[in-house]
Amino acid sequence: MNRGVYDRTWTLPDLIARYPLAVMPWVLTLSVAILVLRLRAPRPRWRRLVRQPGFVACGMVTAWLIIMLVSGLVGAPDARRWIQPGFGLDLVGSTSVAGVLILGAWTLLYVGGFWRPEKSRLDRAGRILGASWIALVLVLYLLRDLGRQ
Amino acid sequence: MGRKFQLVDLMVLVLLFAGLFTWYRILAQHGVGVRLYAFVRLGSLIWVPLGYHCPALLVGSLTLTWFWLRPPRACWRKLIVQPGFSACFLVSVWFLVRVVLFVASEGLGRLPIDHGFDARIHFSTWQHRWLLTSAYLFEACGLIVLGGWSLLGMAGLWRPLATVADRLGRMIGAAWILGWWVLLVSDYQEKEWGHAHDAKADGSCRSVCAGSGGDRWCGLALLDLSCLPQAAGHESWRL
Repeated sequence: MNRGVYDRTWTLPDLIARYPLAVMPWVLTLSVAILVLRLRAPRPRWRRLVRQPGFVACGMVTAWLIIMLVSGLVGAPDARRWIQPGFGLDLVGSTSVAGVLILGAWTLLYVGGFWRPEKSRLDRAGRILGASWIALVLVLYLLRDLGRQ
Repeated sequence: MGRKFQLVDLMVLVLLFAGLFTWYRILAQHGVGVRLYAFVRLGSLIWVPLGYHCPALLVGSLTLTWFWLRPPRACWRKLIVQPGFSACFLVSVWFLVRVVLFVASEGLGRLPIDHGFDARIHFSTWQHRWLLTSAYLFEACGLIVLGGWSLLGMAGLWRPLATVADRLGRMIGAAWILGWWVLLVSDYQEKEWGHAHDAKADGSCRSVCAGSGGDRWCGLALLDLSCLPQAAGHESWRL
């Protein structure tokens, strides 16, 4: 019987290589949820909102998810492909690099002196998630350099 | 920028362009490292032209960042809102990140333990690993520029200047984003093709890649631009 990926002995490098895929669905869902909660009224003015690193991180991830969805639909125009499980997995897997978007936005916020974190649970959670995305992408690129991805 | 061109600027320019010419000389000798799926298709060959334009964009970004950051310079708050500067600056940041990750991976790869890193990109020297796979190393440059520019746009901080440097920086940033977008779409087409063959389950596709399927890469080849017309003449180019 072919047991696929389970038919092997797991080593520490194997587990490290699978860590991003295990963590990603959680941070992705939480990021979208926090963005939705942040956008509910009453909320700060847009100008203040886009200077909050937590909001920026969650906004970037959600925007990235939408970009990936559109790219997937453009790149794979066959509608039968969209309902296959592989398409959803590819989509979630592709969001892993959203940490690069966050890194870019946070760098500009911080260096330009526009970094205005809010003392609220939502922004704090957003910042933790943003840091997780950046850590995730750095691990992914390191693994890719090592030939694991 | 608004300052005199100094000797140190000339030295940096010579250094950067010497690096660029060395990069292109090695690319001309060996070709671009291209990730291969079960079959080679035009989608994977898009890496070849992108591999060639990556060094020029990178050196352009680093050069512009150098000239912007040399004192006397404007304050960071004024610099960051210029999209040309922010693009080149973010590419330079990502370049530093990649250098650190590359050194870390080289160090980890030399540890005397069994990593099981069976798909490692094998070249004889680290220079070749770095120079021939530039498209892989810097594919995220477009993404980091996109992140920065999105923030500037959303926050109302997009203040382009009518200077040559800022215009050039914007062009470089747009080129990075375009390159990244092309790779993204070609990657999806590659996966689409691989899944189509998996669905047929005729076994011929799997045998090429030792059961890895179409959406996992199974090797790396060195290709140059002469491969493009050859591959364009065939629907798929079997290895």
